[in-house]
Amino acid sequence: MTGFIGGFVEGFVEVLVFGLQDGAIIAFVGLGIALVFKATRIINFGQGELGTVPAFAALLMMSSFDLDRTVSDSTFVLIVATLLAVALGAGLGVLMNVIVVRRLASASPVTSLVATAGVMLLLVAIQVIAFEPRGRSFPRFIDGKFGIPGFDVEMAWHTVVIIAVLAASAAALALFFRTPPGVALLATAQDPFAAELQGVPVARMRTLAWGAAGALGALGGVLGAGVFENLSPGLMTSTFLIPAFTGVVLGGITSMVGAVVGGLAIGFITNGANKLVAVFELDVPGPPFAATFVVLLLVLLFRPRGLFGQEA
Amino acid sequence: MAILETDDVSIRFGGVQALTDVSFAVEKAEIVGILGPNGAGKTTFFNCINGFYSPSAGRVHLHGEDVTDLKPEERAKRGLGRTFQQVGLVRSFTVIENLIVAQHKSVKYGLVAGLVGAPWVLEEEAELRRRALEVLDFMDLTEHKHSPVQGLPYGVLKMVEVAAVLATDPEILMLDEPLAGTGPEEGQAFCNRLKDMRRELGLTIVMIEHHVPLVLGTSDYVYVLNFGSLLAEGEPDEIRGNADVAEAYMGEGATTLD
Amino acid sequence: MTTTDQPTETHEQVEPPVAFEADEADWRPSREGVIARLVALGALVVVIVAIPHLVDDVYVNLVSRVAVYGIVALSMNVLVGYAGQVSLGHAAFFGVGAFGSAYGLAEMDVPWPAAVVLAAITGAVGAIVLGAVALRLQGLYLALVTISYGLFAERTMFNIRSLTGGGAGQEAPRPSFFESDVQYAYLCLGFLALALLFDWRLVSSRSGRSIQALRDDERVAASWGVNVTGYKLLAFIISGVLAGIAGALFASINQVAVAPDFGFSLSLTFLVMTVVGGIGNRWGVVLGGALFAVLPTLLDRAHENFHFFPFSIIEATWEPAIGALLLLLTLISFPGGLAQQLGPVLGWLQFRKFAVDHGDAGPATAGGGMGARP
Repeated sequence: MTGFIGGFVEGFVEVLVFGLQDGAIIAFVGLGIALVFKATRIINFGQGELGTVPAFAALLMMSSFDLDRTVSDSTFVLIVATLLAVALGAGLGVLMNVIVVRRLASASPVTSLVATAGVMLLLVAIQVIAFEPRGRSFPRFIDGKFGIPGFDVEMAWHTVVIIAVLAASAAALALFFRTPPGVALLATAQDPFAAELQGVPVARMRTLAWGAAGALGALGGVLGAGVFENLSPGLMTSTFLIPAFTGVVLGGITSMVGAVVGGLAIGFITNGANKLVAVFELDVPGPPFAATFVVLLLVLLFRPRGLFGQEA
Repeated sequence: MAILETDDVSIRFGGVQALTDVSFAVEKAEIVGILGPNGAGKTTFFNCINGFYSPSAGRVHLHGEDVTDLKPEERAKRGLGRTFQQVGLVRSFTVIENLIVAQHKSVKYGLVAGLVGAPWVLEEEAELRRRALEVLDFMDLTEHKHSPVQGLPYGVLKMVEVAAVLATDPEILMLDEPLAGTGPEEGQAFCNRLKDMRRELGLTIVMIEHHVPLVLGTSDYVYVLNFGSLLAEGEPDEIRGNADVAEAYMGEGATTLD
Repeated sequence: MTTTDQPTETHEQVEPPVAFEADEADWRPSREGVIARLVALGALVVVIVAIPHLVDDVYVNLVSRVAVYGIVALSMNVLVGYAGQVSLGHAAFFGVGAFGSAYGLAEMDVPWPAAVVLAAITGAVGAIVLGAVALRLQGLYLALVTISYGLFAERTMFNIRSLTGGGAGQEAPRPSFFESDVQYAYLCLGFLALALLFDWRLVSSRSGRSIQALRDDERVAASWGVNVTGYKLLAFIISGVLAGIAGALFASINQVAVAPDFGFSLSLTFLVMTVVGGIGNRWGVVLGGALFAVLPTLLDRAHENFHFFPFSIIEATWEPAIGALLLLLTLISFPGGLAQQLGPVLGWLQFRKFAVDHGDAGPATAGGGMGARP
């Protein structure tokens, strides 16, 4: 396609492709955040590190516990490492709940946010000490790209993988919430006292939610590192956490669908902002951060419950 | 001229009509009681008078001035004081500190003078302290002056709250269930004190309460709310024998409140 | 109930007059106690005043840093402790002040004191933006906005070349009378002292009380005639001014202001140091600020000089981990922070009884009067 319209459409598709790639990871992180919030009314600032830490664990496994060795090429090894990482992520989530969150059951939501931020800081600091503040090569499930028919734009196969896993995870969660344990989990979030009276083991439900969030986080971490083909300490938090939060707010903090849609939207918006600034040669540094800030303000000031959320 | 009156105040929350056309008038130095079963909208009505809610229809007049569009702070400055169902105090301060904060609107020194610590500021601070002690003495609360609010028994807190509102130097005192949790003797003592306040301080008092006999025994005039609208109004004796009111409180078949 | 045969007393006692003047706390230290306290306070003051001369040249700038962090801690304390707001992007106010001062010095060529005033103004403006948002949002949503604002400041605002020199940063020279490291350290300490004095005046006057009343119960404050909007914004303005001035002082320590210095990790450090110090207590937060200002250096020196575990492993790179651990410890087990732990000593120095706090009450009286957690 040529000409001005052609260029515009071309740019649009480019934004779509990259937006999808980023947005899908953001959606993963957002899904974890929304899950924890839906089940426990707590904002988990450590959701990103529930991804980076298992990703490092996966890396260790794939390089036979010697990070200076080259990482195995095999997709099979990656899959096994990912499964183990997911288990580790689930464990980490449960640990976070037991050690930190439960102790602060009576505190204000902001205190819990600060506490989970503290856990995030600790995890990142430990990674820096253990793995040095540098990046290491990280494999993808499927390498290579393919061209989008009709446009001069390529999409990575990895992006397709992310979308597929995201869709599967979202579907699994949706199904889960229709099963008795899932309903019990929702009840615990809505009204813990009433749920307890009904015989729902509230503490166990919360543990379940945190474990699930950890598992989701681990998946997001492995896939996220794959996007950059590089893993460094604090990667998930520094790159995806705030966009994920913005996406969750945009979608509606009580809605899992909202977290996914919002996350994808933020992916498009941030990439779009970059493109706009580049194309029109605007003197706006850090376009994604400016765009995110504006979106957050607009949503919170004009439609605080987000696109899919209910009134608080 | 009524010192406080409302004209057909109505308010809607989502699908619920909480108040419908509630009109009332209070004369200076009157004690007015507001009765009604739980959920009748009494506190909602107070919130509309106060400024915490904005009515969907109707006006509120204070000293003849239409204050319906004024913020609560503005109405407080015009002499309106109120207590809350959940005790309305600054929880992290002590009793005397609360009474000093409550005198907010009588403070004359400005922002910068206060921050710099000008000599007249220190004088005024001493005066605020002195006044706080005076009010505490009036309410027999001097022994608690340095006690943190957190940790005091509920009954004492309710009295501290009244003391704080008195410290704001109000002309109208709106009390939201001041006798909650008190027994009949304490209740009667408090009502006697209300009459003292009316006599000594020239206060006008509007009181929401559930202790029906006490309200009927203390008030000059009574309004009864039910399901958000005015069920009846009149002098205590009229209300006592009002069959509708009795039914609202005690169910079908009741004819008097006694 | 006694079972004596004596008749009950008649009520003939005369009520003692209420002593309006002597209403201060009834306890007074003994003569020895007063002298002991005065000596301790005197020694403290002497040491603090002498510090810039006592330490090695290498560490003098660290003293300035301690003072700057102390002022930031006071700034955070006003917003988070007194006003009960959230601030997870405080480095934005700090940076706005730093760049404001640098711009004044480098681009507008104003004398240093004017640059500080400029920093105070820009700090206030930067804070008012958030203040306006805080009027509509609370809690979690406000927290997110402050974080996003911090990132926006770090990545966008502070990289606008015309205002901040872009990547290379902006120069921020020192004032002519305080050019040497030691002189500058005294200047910073002087500002810290002024900030502490200001904080004391704030809580002793109507504005400070009103701000704190808002934190506890807005409705009650409004019913007492407190202008809710006005005082909320005032809290943000005061916080912004303090942070802005601190930023100006900070910029002139190394005589340059660069964007990456004012990022999200600094905001977190500010938050952590305030919480660990003890929110609501001015001495606690200043101590927290001092601790985190020297922590990396402290760890490095300990690592060099003590060859036993744990110092054999722990060095400056461990600072974030230690900070995070301190934060978690404070939130979970010691909500009053350093202020609570040092409570008895701090109280003693302020001429109160030496009383060990048995748990529940937060650092309510030691310097501000409020509840413990953020």
